[in-house]
Amino acid sequence: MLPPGVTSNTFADAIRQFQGIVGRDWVFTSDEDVALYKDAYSPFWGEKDEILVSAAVAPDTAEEVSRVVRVANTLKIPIYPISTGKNLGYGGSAPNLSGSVVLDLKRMNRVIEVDDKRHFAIVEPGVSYFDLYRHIQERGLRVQIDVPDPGWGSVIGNAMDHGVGYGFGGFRDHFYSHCGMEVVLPNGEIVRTGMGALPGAKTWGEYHYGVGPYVDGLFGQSNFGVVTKMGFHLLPAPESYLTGTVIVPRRSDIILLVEGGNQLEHAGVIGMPEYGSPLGGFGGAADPELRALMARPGGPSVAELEQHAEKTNRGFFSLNLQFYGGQKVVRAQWEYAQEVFAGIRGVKFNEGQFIKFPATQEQLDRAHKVAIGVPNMAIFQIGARSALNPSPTDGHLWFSPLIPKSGEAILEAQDVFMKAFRDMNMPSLVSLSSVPATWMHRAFVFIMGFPVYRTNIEQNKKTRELFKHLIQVAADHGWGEYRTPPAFQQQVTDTYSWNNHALRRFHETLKDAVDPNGIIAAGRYGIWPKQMRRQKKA
Amino acid sequence: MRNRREFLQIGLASSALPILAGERSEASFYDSVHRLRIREVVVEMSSPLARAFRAEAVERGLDAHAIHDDITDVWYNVLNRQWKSAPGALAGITLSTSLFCLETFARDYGMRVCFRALHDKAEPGPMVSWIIAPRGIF
Repeated sequence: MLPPGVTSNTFADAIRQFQGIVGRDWVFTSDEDVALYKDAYSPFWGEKDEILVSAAVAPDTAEEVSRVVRVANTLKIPIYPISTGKNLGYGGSAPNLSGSVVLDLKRMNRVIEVDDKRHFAIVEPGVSYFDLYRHIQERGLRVQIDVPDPGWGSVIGNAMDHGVGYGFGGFRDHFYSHCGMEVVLPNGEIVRTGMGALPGAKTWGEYHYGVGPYVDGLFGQSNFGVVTKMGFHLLPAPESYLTGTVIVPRRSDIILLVEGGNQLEHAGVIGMPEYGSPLGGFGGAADPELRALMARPGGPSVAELEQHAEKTNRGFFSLNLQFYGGQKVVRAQWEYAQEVFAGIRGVKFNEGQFIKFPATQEQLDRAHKVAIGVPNMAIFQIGARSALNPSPTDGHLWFSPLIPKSGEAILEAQDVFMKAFRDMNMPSLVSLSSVPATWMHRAFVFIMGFPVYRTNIEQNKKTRELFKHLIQVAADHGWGEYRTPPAFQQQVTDTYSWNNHALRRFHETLKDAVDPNGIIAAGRYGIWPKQMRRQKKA
Repeated sequence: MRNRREFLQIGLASSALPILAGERSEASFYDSVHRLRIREVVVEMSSPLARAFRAEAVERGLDAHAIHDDITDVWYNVLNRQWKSAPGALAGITLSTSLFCLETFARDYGMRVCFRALHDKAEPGPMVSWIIAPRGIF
């Protein structure tokens, strides 16, 4: 396969020059090798629209990245940078434009610096959460990283895609918690942002802005450059960790539950609030009566669910609170949190796990590991075949609309999305007890995972249609996705259309100025090079 | 990563190649484990089939790593350390999701799945027997 608009002679010339820069061993062109860059969870698996790559190049240093980019710019070769390519559910290692050359940064896996007195790290794109965790543990450094689930991805790659974790406050918004970048621009020039622009700067990992315009945001979910180093603020390792659960009996209690959760979180009292429902999502897990109620045509009424919750003494919604800090502090915070929710009629409190660090193996085994900064792969258990999951899928797509951080918004989202599924005559992934994810510090994500199959093209087509419908339904209610697989990036960015797509047009103006040949990540989040714009938007 | 063979398509999670998929006999799996002189195995402890494999492996003096669905501990505490210094062949009987994770990690170290057989009727659910080995071995 050739990149679009590139002759075989030009492509061969590019490959030769790439080999000259990084060495022959680090340029991949065989079908077997490039096939590995396909999106494992592609909704177009086996169809003509599945995205393929033409080659891959793996530089080892920022200087090599710069030289590769210069060649690509000269020869107009589209390139697509990846860090470790494990962004499953949001596109993996696949580009938006078939025929692109993947710029694979996994060899750049150096932890440049971790400071446990000033609490920051500076890393390269090939550093995974496991790598950084091991670096910290082996040196006994007193910092806690914030990790996503699973933990095998790149620290930089996750942040660049606006990825999120499970820890304390803003730390779990991985782009928000970054501090300083080194970026190779489309012309090959290397720039450093923030304090990094000051030669010999002593505060690159500490102060975001430097002086003048703050440009870091331009490089997230975009195609204006290739990030080769990045700093991150880290949480000082807490002395202890405590959890406590608040359970409320009625569906409408979610409103006061969220108000209390917001008050505690925004004041820095708790880490990530985890909303749930003791009624479960759909099947109600092992409870046959509840499962039958949920499976009934038309579903149960709110009153029926509340009666069931009361009869079984379960409650309708729950909120798991997480406290980090000194032992006396977390005990006092839990006591205070109970006062905050005490006004909800029928509320119950259950104290959960307490850990005084370092945790014992038994404590670790019981803990929600990502909440205490321990990367792991346990989430893959969910996809395994089991009695509750007799037909595992081959992957999933994440639909990730942001809704306001309120109980009213949760109830509205439940109703709106349940109707959207009914309108499409598809089984609903949403119920009257569904709750949002809370990775963002200041908004909820009403996330849903849609199955993809490698052997069922018809089902994948239906899923794509449903996904598109939900994007539009969400936008009609003022809810936009924070992140989406490449197959839907154009549609999602189309919904951010205020003032006749003024933001898109601004992005395109920047693209034309910074990357006039459109070589970097063409089409990423709807930003196409000028020469492809009309065709790709059609 | 020291060379191209160790890099390969490093950690790409695509699992795009249907390498040796399909049913294979238990006998050929055991034969391959012995023929390749594999010293280390991973077994899913919920599976009687895997436990039987573990018993034989232990009897033969192999290192057997028991898991319960989750490969994190064996990956982080054993394999990641070993493979950084010397990638070596590994066999197992696990859930397919556990293999997916190990297969993806293995690519970071120049290894691929060279044997894969589905045991669809295993208890308590389907298991996969597999061998991961450096590319040069197969």
